Amino acid sequence: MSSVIEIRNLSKNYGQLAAVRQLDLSVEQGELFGFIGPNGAGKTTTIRMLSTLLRPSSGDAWLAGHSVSTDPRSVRRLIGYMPDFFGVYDDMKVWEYLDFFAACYRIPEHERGSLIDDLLQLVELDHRREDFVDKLSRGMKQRLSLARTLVHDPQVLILDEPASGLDPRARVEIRELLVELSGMGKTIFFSTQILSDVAEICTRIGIIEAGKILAIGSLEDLRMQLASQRRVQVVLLERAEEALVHLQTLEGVADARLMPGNHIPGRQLVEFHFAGQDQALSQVLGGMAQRGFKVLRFGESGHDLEDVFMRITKGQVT
Amino acid sequence: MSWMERLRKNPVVLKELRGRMRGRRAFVVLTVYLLVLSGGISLAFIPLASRPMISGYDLAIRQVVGKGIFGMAVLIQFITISFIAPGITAGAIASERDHQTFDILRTTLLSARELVTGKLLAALSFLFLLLLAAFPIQSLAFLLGGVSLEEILIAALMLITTAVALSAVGVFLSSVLKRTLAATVLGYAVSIATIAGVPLLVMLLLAVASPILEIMFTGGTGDIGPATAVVLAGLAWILVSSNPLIAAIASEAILVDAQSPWYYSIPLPSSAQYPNPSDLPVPSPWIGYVLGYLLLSLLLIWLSIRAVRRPEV
Repeated sequence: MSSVIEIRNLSKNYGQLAAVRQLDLSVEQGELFGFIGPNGAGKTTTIRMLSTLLRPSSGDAWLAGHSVSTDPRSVRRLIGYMPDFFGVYDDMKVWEYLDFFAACYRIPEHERGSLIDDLLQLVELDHRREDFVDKLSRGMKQRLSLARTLVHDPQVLILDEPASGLDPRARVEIRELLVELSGMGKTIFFSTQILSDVAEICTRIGIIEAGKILAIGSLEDLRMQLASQRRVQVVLLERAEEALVHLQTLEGVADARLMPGNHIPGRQLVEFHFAGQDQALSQVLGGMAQRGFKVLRFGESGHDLEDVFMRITKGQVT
Repeated sequence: MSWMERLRKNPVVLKELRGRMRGRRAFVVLTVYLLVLSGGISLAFIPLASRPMISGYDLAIRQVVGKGIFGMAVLIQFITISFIAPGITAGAIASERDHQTFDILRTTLLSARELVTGKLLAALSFLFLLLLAAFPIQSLAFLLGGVSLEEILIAALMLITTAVALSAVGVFLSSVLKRTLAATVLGYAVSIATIAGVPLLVMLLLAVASPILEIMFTGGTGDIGPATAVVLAGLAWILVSSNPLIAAIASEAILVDAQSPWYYSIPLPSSAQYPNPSDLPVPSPWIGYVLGYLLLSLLLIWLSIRAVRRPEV
């Protein structure tokens, strides 16, 4: 079986409330899987079940063939878990923090020194080795946290919102680290609320809302699923009203309008929704050129990731 | 891995001790404690020092003072442990929840047993350090004499038992309650109840119940048979053994009067059925205290491990 994470029919109910409903999902070896959804969608509940912290109400999940319900200890050996908060110990130095968790994973004492050096170097905290953990910045804590998940060299990393609450620079750093770890062969399963931040690094994305998976696939797959509803922007040098009238007569074009706003003088923006495949869209552009419209730019703007996300999710929150 | 090896390698012990001994806190606690101890023992010295002419042969007085110093030291050690044990154990598991590190620990290979025993041992190491640190001051008593080896050993056992039991109570509360604050408050309540509450309760109960008991057991005749006497003696023994201070004083009295650290004999009243009952040997209360509280500690530790292991549903 090549699936490292295999989720089958996984559900979690809290009384009447269904936090996760019959989730089916599999993640292959070496994937960087982004699990995306709004607050309260069931991301953390799913992650806690995968990390053996929460018992599923029904269904099960397997990590490299080990069930989270019946064989949690083997699962723990395989995974590095990072919660959506940073657990700080007072009175603990950076290296001691890693040393403690390495000991918790039964790493022999004589191996820990060089292991800690390597991990701190990886997350670029080697210069803060002797500092106290609670003196680090949020971004550094998050990086230390990530280093902590790696002490036992796990096959799978399960990260709950690794980039939340970080400033843009720290987000980029975490993102780069995830790519680096993925390059090292780790399978990474992480959740986030914000698609655009991380979507480009994911091999696949799963969108969850109200405890249900709405869409799974690579970013391209998701784009194609939405291709029939793409939004097109046209920038013209003149005769924008005329172009608008022309566009409105074409098949597949809907909701065409002249966009107001403070554009660069001499440029006018027309936007429309287009239902059709690439061929048809190309013909629209060809037609405009034939009619002598001075098109400066012709492109899809509906591929904005947040837009994809907004269209897939319906804004309902459990 | 042997049992000792496992203890030494327990990551929680090392982590806790690093945190506990770092900074000024442990140093200040130790200093204040030793100052109080020195002050208390100086007070016990006063009767000796205030005698203008004391000859080297005045053995009786020296022995009384020696005993006084020893008793004072044990009392201060006992009170210190009762105050510190709940404080340092209340946060054991609850603070991991407060700091949100509990979940992280649960996804590691650290077992519930290691977590609980690690927290307990780290707390006990600090308490034992306090007990050991008092030894040089306490040993002033040995210069004066009057303290027997049995007394020293019994006192040490009772102090260790108290430290273990109160720590086990603290760790248990910490693993059952979700918040450190709740565990701390309840831990102190248990500690105070053990020292002061139990004797008070016993006295109250006896005052209220003695007329009823008398009628119940003697049928109003004023005589009780040996069987009833055995039951009453057993009850009294449990009550005496349940409180460390009373148990210590009673054990000391038995040691002095009966010359035995182990037991004393109660003469039983005769009855028609048993005209010549033999004396009833009763173990010295310290034995009951040590065994009873150590068993209770084991039970609490076991319950704590269960509470920590229980998965979230």
